[in-house]
Amino acid sequence: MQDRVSTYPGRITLTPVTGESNTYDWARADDPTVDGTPLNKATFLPDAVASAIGALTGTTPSLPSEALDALTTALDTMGLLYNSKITAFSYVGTGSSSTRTTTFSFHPRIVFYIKENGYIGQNRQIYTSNSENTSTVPWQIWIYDSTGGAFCTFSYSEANKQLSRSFNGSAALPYSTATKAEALMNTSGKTYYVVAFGVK
Amino acid sequence: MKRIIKIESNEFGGHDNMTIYTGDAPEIDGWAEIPEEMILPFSFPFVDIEVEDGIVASMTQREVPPSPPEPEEQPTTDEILDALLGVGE
Repeated sequence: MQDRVSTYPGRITLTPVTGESNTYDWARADDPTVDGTPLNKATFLPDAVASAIGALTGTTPSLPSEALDALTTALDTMGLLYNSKITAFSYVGTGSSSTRTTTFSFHPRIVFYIKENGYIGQNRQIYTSNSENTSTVPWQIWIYDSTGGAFCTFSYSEANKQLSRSFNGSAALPYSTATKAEALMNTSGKTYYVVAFGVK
Repeated sequence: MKRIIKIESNEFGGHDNMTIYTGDAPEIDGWAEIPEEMILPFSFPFVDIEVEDGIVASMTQREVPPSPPEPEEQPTTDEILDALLGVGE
């Protein structure tokens, strides 16, 4: 936008209106060297711009202040998206029943495990978090086989951004290595897909 | 897509591994990158590898441990409850 540059700032001409007392038409007489950008709808909030903002935010603004407010909200949302992270990877199980550790490049908040062409434990192919006891055990995955109930316990280290899976079951039951590996989603030769959402 | 593998194998001769499809690959000590053009042996992740400067230089097939049978039957509700309650421990 450009400011108006006047030779005679504020000067106007008043012309009486015929037949009406004390009524005048006025016109600028400031002799500008630069006309400046007019202050109107076309320069403040053209219809096309308002429509575009409406398409982006869901609300078509009728005032410049509403347009700025809508854009601010949209930018906040984009900021959240920018700080959000997602990763998808797979791994092939090795059959080991020792604690499994997965290192992420960000802090995972929700993690999905999907076993290819098979079921993890109790005939379920996809597991997500179980908020049964979030104060001590963030989430668990349960499996069962003929030996008895057993589950996988998760723990997370923010310092290393590592999510660990440990086997947990009844001390009285003779779980096989295969059962333990299955509980840990590490069955030998099986492919597991992982999708994780989190923040930076 | 990026593939990484733990240099040290486990008790069965298998290597922990990751194939990253989306997102940044984590930097993990003790892991090496598998070159994109390297074809994985059928026995993967039960392989022997040689690593040079953090990159897998060679990968050869090794014997795969026998796969354990899938669980054949589900426990009864009572068996599940007993396990939860610690009955019989």
